[in-house]
Amino acid sequence: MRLKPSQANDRLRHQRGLSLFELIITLLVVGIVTATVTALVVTAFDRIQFNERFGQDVRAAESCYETILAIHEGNAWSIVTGSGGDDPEPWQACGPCDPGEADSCPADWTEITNTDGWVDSTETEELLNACSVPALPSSNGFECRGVSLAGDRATQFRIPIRGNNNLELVIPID
Amino acid sequence: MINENRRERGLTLIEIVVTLAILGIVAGVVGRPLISLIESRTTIGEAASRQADIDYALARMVSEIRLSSDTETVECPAPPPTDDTVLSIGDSEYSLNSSNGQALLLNDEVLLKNVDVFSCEELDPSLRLYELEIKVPDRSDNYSVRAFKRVP
Repeated sequence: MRLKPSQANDRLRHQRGLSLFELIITLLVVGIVTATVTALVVTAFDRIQFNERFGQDVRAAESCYETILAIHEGNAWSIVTGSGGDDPEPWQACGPCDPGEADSCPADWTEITNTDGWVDSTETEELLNACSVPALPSSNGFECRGVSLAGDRATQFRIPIRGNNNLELVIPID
Repeated sequence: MINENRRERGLTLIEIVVTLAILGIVAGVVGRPLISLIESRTTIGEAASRQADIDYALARMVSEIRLSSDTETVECPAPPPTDDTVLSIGDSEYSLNSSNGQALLLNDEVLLKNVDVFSCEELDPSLRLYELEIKVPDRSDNYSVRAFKRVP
């Protein structure tokens, strides 16, 4: 039986299978879809881990914050004699200033690398380790500076969390 | 004529078997990653939910300690005789109970499931400073936070 030219072409087309071009396009589409889905899953896992670590960093900063507040409210700071008389240690260590003259208060933060001598009791000193570099996520440790709080003396603490995020605490001295 | 007959006769057994075999191979190749994807989605959802539950449990206890009044005594760890109570703040009793698959309970209601360790320590009685710690299975790190009971 003789085939018409058009029928012969159709048969040939069916028999020749996929061209290289078609195969490459198919693989490319499959590759793009797989890469997109994989990237989404990996991003989601990364986000979960980041949130967990960030939560831990926040809790570490919160523990330091609560410890400083507890020591302050419990009047447990060491009292040292400075130019202005007897003052709690943080005020002296963080840059004392005249609260009446706001300009005299330091604009820069003092980095605290060591809190030895800030409190009298050894047990309380150990509690302050919550604010030390190994306990906090930032390698900078925490910082402080003397400030004027409505004309009264105060110490401002800045506890790093991560990146540009900080917890800040102002405690009055007088 | 022959072609028409061929079209009408349908599929042979060998054609059906080959088609099913190809479908099986395609399903094996595509189905496996698809199942993994669905499993990953479930895992991600559970991990996020678990994290939120732990954060909530800690935040709730910390807030209660911070804001408790003078009449609401914080006992940490709760003194004997207490069955499983680890922390009590006024009328709230937080305990670790193994009858619910080791769960953290608040007044006998489940607050957090699957808890390995829940502890509370009064760091310094004169400072009213407490430390709470939770350890859950499959996590190497502990979840701990400090809470200072404010002066009312």
